Amino acid sequence: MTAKSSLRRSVVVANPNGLHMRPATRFAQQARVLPQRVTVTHGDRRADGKSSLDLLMLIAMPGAELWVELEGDDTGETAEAIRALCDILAAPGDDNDH
Amino acid sequence: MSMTEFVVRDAILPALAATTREGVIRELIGSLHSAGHFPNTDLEDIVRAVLRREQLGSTGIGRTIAIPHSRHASVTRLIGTVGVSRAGVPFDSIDGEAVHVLVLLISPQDRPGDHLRALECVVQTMRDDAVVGALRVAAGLDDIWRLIGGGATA
Repeated sequence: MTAKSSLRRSVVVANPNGLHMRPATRFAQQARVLPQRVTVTHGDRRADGKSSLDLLMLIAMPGAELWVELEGDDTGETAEAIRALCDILAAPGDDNDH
Repeated sequence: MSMTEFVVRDAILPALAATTREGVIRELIGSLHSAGHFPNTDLEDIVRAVLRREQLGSTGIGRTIAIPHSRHASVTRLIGTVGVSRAGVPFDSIDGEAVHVLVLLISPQDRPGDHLRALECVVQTMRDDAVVGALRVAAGLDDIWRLIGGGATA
């Protein structure tokens, strides 16, 4: 039997252009392959982490603190999955990244 | 925030003539130039910057919408324009559909917040299928201006 789990982790947006279209797309692509529900919150704004457009609605500026939450069956790899998602948000990007 | 705060009214193109991704991007940037928003000497450089961004990943967000964009030093505030293609343009979009509604954005180099707020505003406006549908059949500039300003879709 698979246990249900919920795991939350905070991350600070490091990209100098904030959470713009490319990191949002990367995040959503990676989140979509996970069986769990993925939610990202920024203050009182919540986004479905599997939707890049939802993530854009967070208006997360550089330095913003976001919370990433995974809810659902614990696959045994949940901690690694949330870490990989947070890495996308914590990546500095580059000057041409917009 | 309303899209009319950054879309240049005189640069809106209700009937795009080009039929390729590069062609419509050139047409939209040319229209912003004609409306007097940057010098001729910067025109080609802005086109290249937007096309370079497309090469990193299509800005076709699905549901027949694309938001091509770039930063560029020639603008001092974020500006944009809207174009509609009746025929549709292949855009390598996320859902594989041709693009009919384009919103092109050019932002200053050092104003990431303005860019994020404009993106959010475009996504928010385009969430309504009725707005997208009405834009696709808009009779002209006045209709598009009313739709992106949050006016009635009926």
